[in-house]
Amino acid sequence: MTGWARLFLCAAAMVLAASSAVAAEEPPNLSGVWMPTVIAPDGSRNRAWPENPPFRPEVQAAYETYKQKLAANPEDYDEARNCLPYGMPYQMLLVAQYPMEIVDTGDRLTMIFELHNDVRRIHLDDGPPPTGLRPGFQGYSMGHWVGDTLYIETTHIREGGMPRPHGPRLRITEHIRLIADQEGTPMLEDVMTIDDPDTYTEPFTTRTYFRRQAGLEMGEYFCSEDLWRLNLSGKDSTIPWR
Amino acid sequence: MLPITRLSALFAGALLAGLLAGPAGAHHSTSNFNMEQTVSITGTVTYVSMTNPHSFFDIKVAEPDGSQQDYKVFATARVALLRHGWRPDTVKAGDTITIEGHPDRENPHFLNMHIITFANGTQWTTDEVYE
Repeated sequence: MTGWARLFLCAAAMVLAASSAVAAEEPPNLSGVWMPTVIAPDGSRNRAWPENPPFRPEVQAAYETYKQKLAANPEDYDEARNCLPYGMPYQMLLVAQYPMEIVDTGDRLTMIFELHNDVRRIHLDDGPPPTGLRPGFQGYSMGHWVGDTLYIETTHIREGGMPRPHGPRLRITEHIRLIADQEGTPMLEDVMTIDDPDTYTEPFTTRTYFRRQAGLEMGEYFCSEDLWRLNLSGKDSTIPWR
Repeated sequence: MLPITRLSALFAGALLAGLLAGPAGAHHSTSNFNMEQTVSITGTVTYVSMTNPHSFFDIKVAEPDGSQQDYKVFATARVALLRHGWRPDTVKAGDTITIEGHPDRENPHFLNMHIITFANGTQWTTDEVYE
């Protein structure tokens, strides 16, 4: 091989290496259907929410009172049983049998939750929240990628009472990464820090996992069907709390 | 219909309680049901509400003394049942079914369904739904 040929090959290898490095830094596309799971990538059991979150004393007292009422009559004390959405941060922490679909278009990451047909929009590299924004169940989420990690900050979350208390200053930060379990199935890890000085004495961190469910069809979750049936029939509901 | 994967009622109850523990780990609270107790009833379906957030069946059961007792059965959401092989007419009025479930702490005639035996004799369990 001539010196020029060696030089050419060397230069080509450098270009390839550089382009691979650039490719490696490209954020992954998270589009797909994901099912929350209590099984961590290493096979251990994960608890998303701490057993004893650091409630402020007055919130702890209110929570204990609530728990007593709930134990006696849960249908009257859980708004989600009556079709109101969970919202943030609980929407990301519900380890139940309901999948979430992500539509990742690069400038926007949209999470479509089967449960309550909820939608969460994460604005990527899109500046601060618009002025005059009113608080909502999902809040306003701003995200950006740093390497393989998606950082999200969520504010403007509507205040919530029991059983999911949070105050007006709630601020949530998340680090979401694409990982895999021991069989190589893609998983999402969402590490969330909840900073809510009106509810907790200090910020604390939760960790949730989602496993990719290739081919899973998202279902419809309309919660008001029974209410409409009552409207049409004029009869009492057969659902005990309606 | 998917084949039954039967865990012991105690284990299933503990698993469910663990999944649903805590204010944010919960979907909807089932704390009104005594998950450590299991009862079995067989009767005729009188009403089906296959709905979200939960489904319900009304069942008329002949008691040993000859009287008829109405039971209400609490089951998982329509969307989850459909995902796990159910169809809107899987259970219908007039069917004879058996339910193994956990009773409400105050109302013994209100059960949280764990295992159902359909009119055709096949079974399905909520263990199919909860990981």
